[in-house]
Amino acid sequence: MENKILQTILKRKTEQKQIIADINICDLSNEDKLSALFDSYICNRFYLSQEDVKNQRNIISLAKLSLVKAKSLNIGDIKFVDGKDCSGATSSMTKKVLLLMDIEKNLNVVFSPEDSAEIDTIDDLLKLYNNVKGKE
Amino acid sequence: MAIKKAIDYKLKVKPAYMQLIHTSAYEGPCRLGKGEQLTTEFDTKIGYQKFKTFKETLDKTYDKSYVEFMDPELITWTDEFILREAQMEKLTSAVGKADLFLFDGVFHQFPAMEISENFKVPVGVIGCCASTDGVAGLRNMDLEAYGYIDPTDANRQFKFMQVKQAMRNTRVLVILKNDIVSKGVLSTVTNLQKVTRDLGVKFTFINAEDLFQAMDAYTPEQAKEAEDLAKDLNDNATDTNMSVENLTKSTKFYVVIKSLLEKYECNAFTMPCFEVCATRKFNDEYQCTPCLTHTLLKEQGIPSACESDINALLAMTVIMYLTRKAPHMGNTHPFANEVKTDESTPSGLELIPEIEGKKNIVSTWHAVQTRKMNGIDGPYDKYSLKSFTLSGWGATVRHDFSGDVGKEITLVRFHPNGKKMLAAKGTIVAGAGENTIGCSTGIYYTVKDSKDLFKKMLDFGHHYTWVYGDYIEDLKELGDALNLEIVTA
Repeated sequence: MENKILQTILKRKTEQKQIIADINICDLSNEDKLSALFDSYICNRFYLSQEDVKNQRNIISLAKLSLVKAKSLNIGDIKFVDGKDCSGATSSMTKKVLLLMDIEKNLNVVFSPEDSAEIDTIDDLLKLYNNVKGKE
Repeated sequence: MAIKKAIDYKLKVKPAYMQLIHTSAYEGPCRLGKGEQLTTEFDTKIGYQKFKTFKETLDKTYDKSYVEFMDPELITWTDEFILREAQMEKLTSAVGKADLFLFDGVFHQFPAMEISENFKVPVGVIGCCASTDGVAGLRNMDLEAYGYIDPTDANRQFKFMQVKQAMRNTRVLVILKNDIVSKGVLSTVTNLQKVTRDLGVKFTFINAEDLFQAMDAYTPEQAKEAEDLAKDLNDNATDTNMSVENLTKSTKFYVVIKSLLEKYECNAFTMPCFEVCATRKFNDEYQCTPCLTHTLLKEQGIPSACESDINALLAMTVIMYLTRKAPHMGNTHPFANEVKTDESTPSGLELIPEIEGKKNIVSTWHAVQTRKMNGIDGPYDKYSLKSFTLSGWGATVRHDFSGDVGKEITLVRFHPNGKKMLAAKGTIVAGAGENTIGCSTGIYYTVKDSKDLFKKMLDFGHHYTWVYGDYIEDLKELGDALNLEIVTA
């Protein structure tokens, strides 16, 4: 069982590296491909399916979905796994910020704290990424 | 120039989210996490994320009908535990404009205290555990501070703060004749300077002779307004015993009082009707009583009380601003079936079969009912018009309370010392006196213990303002905001 979990994690890590590599070489004008790659990236990070990101584009909502799936709960039970910590941040908020920081590090971009907070959806993320990369 | 109604005052709140940013990555007694989650960059980014959520909550959770938010600020501080001047300065422009500074965040009791001490402004602190810790600390320093369980609680309590500020924006026009104390209301608050100091309600006195002068200087525009109003009141009444000519004499008085309120920048009214009546000007010349004026002003959210009764007026101000309902006020007395003898028939309100044999019956009556007792923002209730006098003048609005049997009511009156308010809950048993003339029109209702109420009334007086609904718990909380002791019965 433990071995199976480890294998899944390693498989995800390998997939993630490939997605990052693909994003890094993807032409910014190829919006469809870039969008599909960001979808995959988020699926990979949040342990979600392509179907999940197709139906839900809001990153905080996807983080919530990720939290309930990890505990085999229904979305209606989100309050039990998405409480605020001592710093006043919810788990879903933390997951979103860590995701963006991960993207910044792996894709070598910098999002300002103000811009990061304004990203609601995967599409917002893609737009900001394009803007920042386009200015380079 | 229109009357600036205090009931419409919006509480001005300067909101700020306070984020603690750690200058290096470490775990400890106040923070947990690993890797990126402990970095300064993470604290900064999550701070903006939480600030965004905070702003969304300001938009969604708070009732903008009584709260007005200034631009929200993100205030940051670090684990050196100093609130830097640059952060403090983000709030400077709101000092003197905001009624309250609202803080949410992380360990925000410290910056809240720094700001409160620095600017000497009232602060509201949301959430665990900054609200309890911070507010207790600030109150111990005699600084004005409020704590809220969460934003929903803050929104609810903002209504009480709004009432407090609305009170501070209330200026009462009082007609003076002979004495500040009307001989029908000896229990009235007499230390009005103290009321102004404690509650912020201000008073402007003019002599009855100034009122007569204004009545005599009646303009053609005012005459037209009074005629139109009388016609409208007459046309929409279900029943009337008044001629439009006599009705117009009362609407004339209303139009003149409105102009005096505008002239003296007042937004509440009272006058000693007994003393003014005794000048004979109102009977021989103007042929009106103030009743209709009280009714019409209250329907617009302007407190207006009978007989220069400041206790009733202050209580009316509180309950009207809290509920946005146009109250009735009147003489109040237990019927006391339990102890009555054949001689103890009630005075004032007519005896009706519905109350016979019932216990804990109390009556309240005066000819100042309103057509907006269900809310000043809603439609007019059905009404009839009756003359106050047998001679056919002195318009009053009458409401048929028989349809309100079983409804809960809250009645209130200030103590003569201005520091307490009596609040009692009742349930309407019957309406009475709708078709009588004079002041004897109102309701019978049951209270929990009429003897207990009466005992307390002996300390508070006889005129009570009342509205539909049970507001006792709200009044207790409002009492905290106003520093007013709420005595219940």
